[in-house]
Amino acid sequence: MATAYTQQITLSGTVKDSLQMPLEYANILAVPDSTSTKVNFSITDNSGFYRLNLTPGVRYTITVSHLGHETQYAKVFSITENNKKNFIMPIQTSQLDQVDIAYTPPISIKSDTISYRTDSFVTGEERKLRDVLKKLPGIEVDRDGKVTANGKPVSKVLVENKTFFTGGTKLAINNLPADAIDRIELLDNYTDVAMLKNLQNSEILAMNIKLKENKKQFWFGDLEAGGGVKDRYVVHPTLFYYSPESTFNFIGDVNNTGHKSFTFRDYVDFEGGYSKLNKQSGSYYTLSNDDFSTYLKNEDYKAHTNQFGALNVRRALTPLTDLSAYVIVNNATSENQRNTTNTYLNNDTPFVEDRITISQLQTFFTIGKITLDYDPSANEDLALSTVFKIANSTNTDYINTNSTYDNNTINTESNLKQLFLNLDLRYTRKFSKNHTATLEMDYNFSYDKPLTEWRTDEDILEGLIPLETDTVYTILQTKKLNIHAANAVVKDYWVLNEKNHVYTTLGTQLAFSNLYTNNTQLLSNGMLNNFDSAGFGNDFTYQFIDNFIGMEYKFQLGIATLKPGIFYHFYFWNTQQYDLATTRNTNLLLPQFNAEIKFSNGNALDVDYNLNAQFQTVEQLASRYVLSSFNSVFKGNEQLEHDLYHRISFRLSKYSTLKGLNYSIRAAYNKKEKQFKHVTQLDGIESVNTIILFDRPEDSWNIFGNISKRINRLRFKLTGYANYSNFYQLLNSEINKNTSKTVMVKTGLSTHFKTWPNLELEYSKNISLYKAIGLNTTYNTDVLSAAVEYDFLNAFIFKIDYELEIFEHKDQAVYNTFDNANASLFYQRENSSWGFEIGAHNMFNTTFRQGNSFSNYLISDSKTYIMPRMLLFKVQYKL
Amino acid sequence: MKKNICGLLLLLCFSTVFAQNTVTEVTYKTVLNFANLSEKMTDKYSKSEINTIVNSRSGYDAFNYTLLFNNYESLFWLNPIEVGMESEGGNNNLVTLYNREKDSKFYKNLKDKIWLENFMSSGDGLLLLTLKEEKVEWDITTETKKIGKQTCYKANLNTGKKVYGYSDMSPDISVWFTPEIAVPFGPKSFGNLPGLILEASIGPRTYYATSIKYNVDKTINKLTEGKPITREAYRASRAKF
Repeated sequence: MATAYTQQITLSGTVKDSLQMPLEYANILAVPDSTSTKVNFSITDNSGFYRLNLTPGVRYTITVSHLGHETQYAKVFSITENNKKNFIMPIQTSQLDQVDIAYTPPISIKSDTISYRTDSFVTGEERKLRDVLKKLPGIEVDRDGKVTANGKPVSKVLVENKTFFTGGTKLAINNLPADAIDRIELLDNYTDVAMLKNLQNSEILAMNIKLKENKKQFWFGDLEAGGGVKDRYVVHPTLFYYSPESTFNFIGDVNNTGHKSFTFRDYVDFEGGYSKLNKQSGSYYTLSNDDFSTYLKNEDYKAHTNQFGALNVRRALTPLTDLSAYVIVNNATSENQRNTTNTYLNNDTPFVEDRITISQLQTFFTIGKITLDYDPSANEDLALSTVFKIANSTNTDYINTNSTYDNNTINTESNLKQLFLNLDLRYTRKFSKNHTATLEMDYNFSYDKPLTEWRTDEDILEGLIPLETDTVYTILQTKKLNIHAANAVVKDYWVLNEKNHVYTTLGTQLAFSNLYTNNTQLLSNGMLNNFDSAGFGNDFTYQFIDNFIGMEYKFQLGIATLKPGIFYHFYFWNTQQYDLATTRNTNLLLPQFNAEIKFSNGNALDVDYNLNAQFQTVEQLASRYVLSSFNSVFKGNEQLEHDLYHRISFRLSKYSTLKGLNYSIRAAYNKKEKQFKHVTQLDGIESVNTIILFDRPEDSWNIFGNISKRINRLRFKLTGYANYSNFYQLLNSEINKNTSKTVMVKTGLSTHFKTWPNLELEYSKNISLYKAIGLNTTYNTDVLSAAVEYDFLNAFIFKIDYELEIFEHKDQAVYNTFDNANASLFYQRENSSWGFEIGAHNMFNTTFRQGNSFSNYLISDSKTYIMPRMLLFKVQYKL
Repeated sequence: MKKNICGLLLLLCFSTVFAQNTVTEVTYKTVLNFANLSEKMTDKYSKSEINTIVNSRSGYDAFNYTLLFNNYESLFWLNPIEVGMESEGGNNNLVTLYNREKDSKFYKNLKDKIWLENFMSSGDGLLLLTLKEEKVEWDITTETKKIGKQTCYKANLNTGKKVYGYSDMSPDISVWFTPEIAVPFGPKSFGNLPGLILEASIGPRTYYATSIKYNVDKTINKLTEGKPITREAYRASRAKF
C-alpha cells in the first residue's frame, strides 16, 4: 500500500454542546471515499479542540460522536487548503435501553500467523536452519542452538505443524537443511493459536518450519571417528531421517575408550521423553533403576570395548494411529578391578579382610520396544506397547582374599542368559462430563538362567557344603528362574461437583514364579557330588494373587486440595517345595493421604502419607540353600508374609522469575513396623544367611534442600542433605541396633557470559557416621570440582575440568586423595561441516577411585580402578 | 417566558446528568474460531492439538467478560465461575482455561494516562503491571459492517502490538469498533480508537460483545492488588531466566 507522500492539509475546530460548553473526549472520524487513503481520527482536548490531517482532493465523511450526545455527520469535499469546521452536539434525548446483541463472529478464513518467506532473505550459502535464522530480522541464534526472536526465547520447534523429534530446538536448528525450508512461522502466545494442555499463563514462542513441496524428506546427521594413544579408537555415527509421516534416528558407537555416547538421556528420549513417562508415574524410576540404566551410568572400568547400535522409529500409520519403536543392541567387553578392605563387625573382635577382585565381563544384550497409540476421538485413547529384552553375559572373576581367617584364591565363571517380555495395554475413555475411566493391563514374562562355577584349591564353606576332598575344588550352581506376572487395574474418575471428586479403583495382581536350583561338586575324576543331602537344591513354586479395591476422595478446602484414600487388599499365595505345598492368605487395609496447597505468593506445598506393604520375590522364599558367593550361602523362608511401613513426605517449592530465585525442600520420614531382615551366622569371612520378618520398629528420615539464585551473569546454588536411620542387625544370635547419619553440603557457582570464558565451580562436604555394636566409624569426603569453557575466535571451543576428592576414614587413619582432569580443544569454522577435536582424559593418569559402603555386618573401603590416561584425536563430519 | 425558563432548567438538569460520568456495562463472550476445523485435520495440526482445541471450545462457551467504562476510565475482567479442582481423569478444559484467565484484569485511565493490568504469574503470585499510556498505530480501513444495530469500522494492528502485550510475531490483531459509542475502549486492553470495540480477534481467538447496558449503578475501581512492576521490568526478568 505504498502511496507517495502527499502534502497533508488540516481540518480543525471545536466541538461544543448546545449550551456552548466545550466537549472533551469527543471523537471525530474522517472516512475517505477512496480506499487508497487512510482513515483519520482525532479526539477533542479539554477545550473541545480537534485537528484532523486530511489528504487534499479526497472526499471524506466526518462523524462526530460523544457519549450522551447525538452523533453529528458532515461531508467534506476535496479541500485544498487548511480549513475550519465547528460542531454543536445536542444531548441525546432518546431513552438508552439495554441492548442485547445477537451476533456470532464469522469464522476466520486464513491462519493469521506471521511467516517469513526465506527465499527473500537467503543468499544460497546457508547449510542448516541456524544459518537461515541468522539472516532473519530480529532473530538471534547462539552457539548452542538456542534461538531468541526480538529478545524472546523460542522454546519449541515444529516442522510441518508437528513436533520435531523431541521438540527441543538444538536438534532442529543445527540439522535441518537450509535448502528444504520454504517458510518460517513464528507463533507467539502459542497458547492462543494451538494450545497445549497444562500450560499456565506462559509466554511461549514456537517456531514452525514449512518445507518446500519436493523437499519434505531428508537425511541428516554426523559421523565422528577418532583414534589415540594407546591403541584407542572410536567410531560414532548419528543419523536421522525425516519425513512428515515417519522419522528414524540411529545412533552407533564402537569404541574402547570406556565412554558411552548413548546416554541415559538418550534412553529416556527413546522411551518417549519425560512427558510420556510422567503419564505412567513410577516408570521413570523403574527406567532409572533397571540394569540397562545402571550399565549406562557406570563409568569405572579398567578397560572397556563396546559395539553399540540404537534405532528409533516413529511413524503415523493412519491419521489416528501412531507407531513408535526402538531397538538397542550392545556388545561389550570390560575389565574391572576393585581392591576392598572389609571390616567385619563381629561381636568379639572386629577383624579386617583385604580382597582383590579382578573381573572380565563379556555382555551382549538387546532391548526393544514397540508402541502403538490410537486416538479415535477426543473421548478415547488406546496405547499398546511391548518390550522385549534378550541378554547373554559371561563373567570371569579372579578373587584373592587375605585375612586372619583365610588366605585363598577363587576363580569364578558365570554365565547369565535372560529373556524378558512385556505386553502393556492402556485404555482411557471419557464417558460423560463427569466420568472418565481408565483400564490398564499388563503381562510380563521373564526367564533367567545364571550358571556359576567356582574353582579354588582350598576348602571353602567348611561344614556348610559337603565337599569331598580333592586337589582342586570345582563347585557348580545352576539356577533357572521363571516368572509370569499380570496386572489389571480399572479406575473410575467421578466428578461429583467442582469441589468433590471420587476415584474408585479395582485391581488384581498375579505373579506365578518357579525357581529351580542345583548345586554340585565336579570332582577331578569327572564324578558329581550333589549337595541335596546338605539342604541344597530347590524346585520351588510361588503363586501370588492380590485383589484390591480402593477409594480416594478428593476435595477442596480453601487453597488446599486434599485427597484421603483407602485400599483394601485380599492376598492369597501358595508355596510349594517338591511335594510340600502350603496355601496362605491375609487381608490388609492400607490408608493414604495427599494434600496440595498453592499459596498466593507462588509457593507450593505437597504432603503425602501412605502405609505400604510388600511381599518378597521367589528367591527370598525358596527354602533350601543356594550359594550366594564364594563365602556365603543363603536359604529363603517360605513363611514370609508382607512387611509394613509408614511413609510421610513433604515438599515445598518456589520458583520466582522476578527474583531469579528458586528453591525446594523435601523431607521424608519412614517408620517400619515390620521389615524383612537377614539373619546372619558369621564365621570368619564366611556366612550363612536367611531372612525373616522382624517386628521391632525402625525409623529413618531425610531432608533435602536446594536453593539457586541468579544475579546478572552469575548463578549461585546451595544444596544440603541430611539423613538419619536406625536399623537392627541380627548377627550370630545377637540383636544390635545400628545407626547411620549423613550430612552433605554443596555450594556451587556458575557464570553465563557470552564472550568471556565460563566457569563452573563446586565444593561439597559429606560426613557419614556409622554406629554399630559400639564401634563408631566416621567418613569425611571433600570434593572440589571446577570446569572452564571458552569459545573464542568463533571457531574454537576449549574445555577443561578438574575434580579433587579427599577421602578420610578417621578411625582407621585412612587418608586418600583422588584427582582427575580432562581437557579438550574443538575446532570448527562456522558453516563448515568438518570439526576436529583433540582431547586428553584422565590427564594425571589416576589409577583408582575411593569409596565406602556400610551393610549388615560389614564396612567396606574400596578402590575401584579406572581407565588410564588417554589422548584422543577425533574428526567430525556433519551430513 | 416561564415555560422557557422551566424548559431551560430541565435542559440544564439533563445536561448535568449526562455531563456527569455515567457508567456503561458491556458483556463480551469469547470463541476459538478455526476455518472448518474437523477432528481429522492432521495435516495442519497434530492430533493432540486438535483434541485440545476441540475440548477448549466447549470450555470457552461458559466464559462471560465484563467491561465497565465512563468517559475516561475502563475496567475489563472475566466474570467469576465456580470451577473447582482438576480431575485426575482428564476433562479439565474449563478448569484449565479458567484458571489461566481468572486473575487477569485490565484498567485504563485517560486522565492520569495510566494502564494497569493484573496478571497471575507462575511463581511470583499476582502482579500489577503498570504501563504509561502509549500511542497505537491502528490502520483503520473503510470496511464496515453492522454488529447488532451499530455500524462498525474495521481496524488492523500490524506493528507495535507490544503495547497490548503481544509481540510482533503474534498474529495480526483486527477489531471492529463503532464510532456511535464514542469511547476508546474495548475488550482486554484494546482501544485507542474513536469508538467502542465490539469485536476483537487475535488470530482465531475472538472476543465479541453480546449486550450493552447504559447508566448502570456500578463504580469503576482502580486495580490495587498485586505486586507492582512495570511491563518492561517484567519482560526483562523473563528474558534473563
